[in-house]
Amino acid sequence: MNGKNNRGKIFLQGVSHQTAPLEIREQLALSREQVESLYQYLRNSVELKECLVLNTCNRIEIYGLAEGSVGQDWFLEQFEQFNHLKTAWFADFGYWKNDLETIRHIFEVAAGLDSQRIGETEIFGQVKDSYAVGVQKKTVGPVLHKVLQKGFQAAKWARTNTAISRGQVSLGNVAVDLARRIFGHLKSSRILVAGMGEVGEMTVKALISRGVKNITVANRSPEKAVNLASEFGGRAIPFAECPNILADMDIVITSTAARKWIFTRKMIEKASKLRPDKPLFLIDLAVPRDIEREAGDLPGVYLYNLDDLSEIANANLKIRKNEVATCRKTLSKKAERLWKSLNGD
Amino acid sequence: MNFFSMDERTLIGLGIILYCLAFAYGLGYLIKTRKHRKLSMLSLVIGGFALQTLGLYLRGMDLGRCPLGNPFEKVQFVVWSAILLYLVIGPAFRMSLLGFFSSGLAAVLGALSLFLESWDQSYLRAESATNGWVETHAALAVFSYGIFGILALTSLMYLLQNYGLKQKRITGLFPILPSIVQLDQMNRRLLMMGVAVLTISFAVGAVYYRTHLSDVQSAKLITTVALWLAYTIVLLLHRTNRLASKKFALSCVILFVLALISLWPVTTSGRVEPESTSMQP
Repeated sequence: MNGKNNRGKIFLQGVSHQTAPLEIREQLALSREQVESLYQYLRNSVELKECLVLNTCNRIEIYGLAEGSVGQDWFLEQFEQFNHLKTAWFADFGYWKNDLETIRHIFEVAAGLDSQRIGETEIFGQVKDSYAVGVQKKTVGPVLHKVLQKGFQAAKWARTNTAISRGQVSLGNVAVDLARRIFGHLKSSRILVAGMGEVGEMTVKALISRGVKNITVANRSPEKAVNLASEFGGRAIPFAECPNILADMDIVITSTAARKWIFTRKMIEKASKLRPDKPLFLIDLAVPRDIEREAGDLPGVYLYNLDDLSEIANANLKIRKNEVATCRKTLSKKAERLWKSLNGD
Repeated sequence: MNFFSMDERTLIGLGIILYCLAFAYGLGYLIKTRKHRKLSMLSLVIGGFALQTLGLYLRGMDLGRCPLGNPFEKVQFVVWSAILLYLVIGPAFRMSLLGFFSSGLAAVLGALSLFLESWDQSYLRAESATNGWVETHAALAVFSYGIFGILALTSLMYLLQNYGLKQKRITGLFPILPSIVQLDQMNRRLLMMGVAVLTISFAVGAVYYRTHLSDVQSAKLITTVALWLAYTIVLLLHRTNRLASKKFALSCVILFVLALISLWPVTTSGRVEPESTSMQP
């Protein structure tokens, strides 16, 4: 069983939170348009028969089925010309997997075992979305289709039959706990929400459940801002207004797709000086980050990014360690079974 | 004067032992369970406070005045004032963890004053010390030290919480500390209260000393005025938003350390050579 039969070789080239720090990941992150370009680029490769791009805030992974004895060198060489993919960093901070290892990996990713917060379920939806895009673009063929479908089944099995998701602390609740350590009661706290992602929405909802009422929403799309504001019972403001109202806010949640900082240290320092006796809690959920890291050094400013929150949420990981080991073992067996069936054994 | 065959020093000592037990129990429980045991801690602190109050009362009865004549008595009074404040503001502001820190302060200062026997030397009452104005002045001044002691503790709690949040620490003591905003408000109130009590103490003392200028001890006057001035400047800077958050808390901790050190010149300059009244058995 070498995976080099007429079916071709299944491979994976990826970079994730397991191998690269946030500073690297945010520079490797691809925008929606860049993913589009990447698919177009992938289609031009002669050796590639199938491919799928999984692009989330914690990972960028390219799954493929290629002809011949392709390896990481081939991949890096192929994509050297693709401007948006920093191939050198893929070599330094990434991982390359073949055949059975690739299947094992996608099973673990879909089940949330490879996530920053072990057992989280958002990744399952993200893998499904990526699969849907691949199907739509017709880059997913019979082999990747089978691998992904079996991966979804394995993930569902893991969630139903093991306790990997039990005792899960949501990022929203982590943010609420931190906010309470800063402000105590949250009823009078004023929140600015700039941009909105899944985790951001979860965080805002968790804060609302603890009594937060004063919410301001800013979005590049004014229509979306108005819709979100009405959903949360807040008010919408133009995105460009954000730095001007910073001094009136207690908690700022950002999760925009901006490629540059939307809040620099200078902006936050200026706002902080206008409210020296009040702390400012900044939650940066974006990758690439929206808030300049050095802003966290300012007195009275508490800056947390996605990695920080995930690390806190994972603090109870030890309790689930045995469960994770059992789950990993079973998923590995399932991956081996699939690998055998793909090879006609 | 004895109480159940125990002299006042023994009673104070037993009170300090209960403070030590409260602190050790609180620390052990925190390390083991990462939780704070409120009721058991409070019971031990109340027990210690009752014994210390009784001991100080008996000594006051012996002296026929407020026991503030030597470093031992002054430190004990500062500790007593701090614990009294904790018992008042701790439950009112839901600052149960303040009990842990207060018992720690009481244990350290109380034990130190008990072990250093030279601090409890006999002294002769100065004539002025029996004056009601002077006694009230001294009691209020030392009480303000107790307030500054609690302020130093809440400031220390602020610094710890700030450190925990900045360094992203979520285990141990950090999650159970009061919030940054709550601690900052408490610090502001305590500082205002401390400065007010010390100012009143000066005003009360002035009633006597303005007609008895020869009784004024310059070292004591300079030290206490310098301390009052320092706390007042910190208060003014904080009120005008020029000293906030970490720097404000740090100033309050440093000033209390200086206040404790200042007790030495305040005490030594006021000491009258002993004649017959012996505090040591």
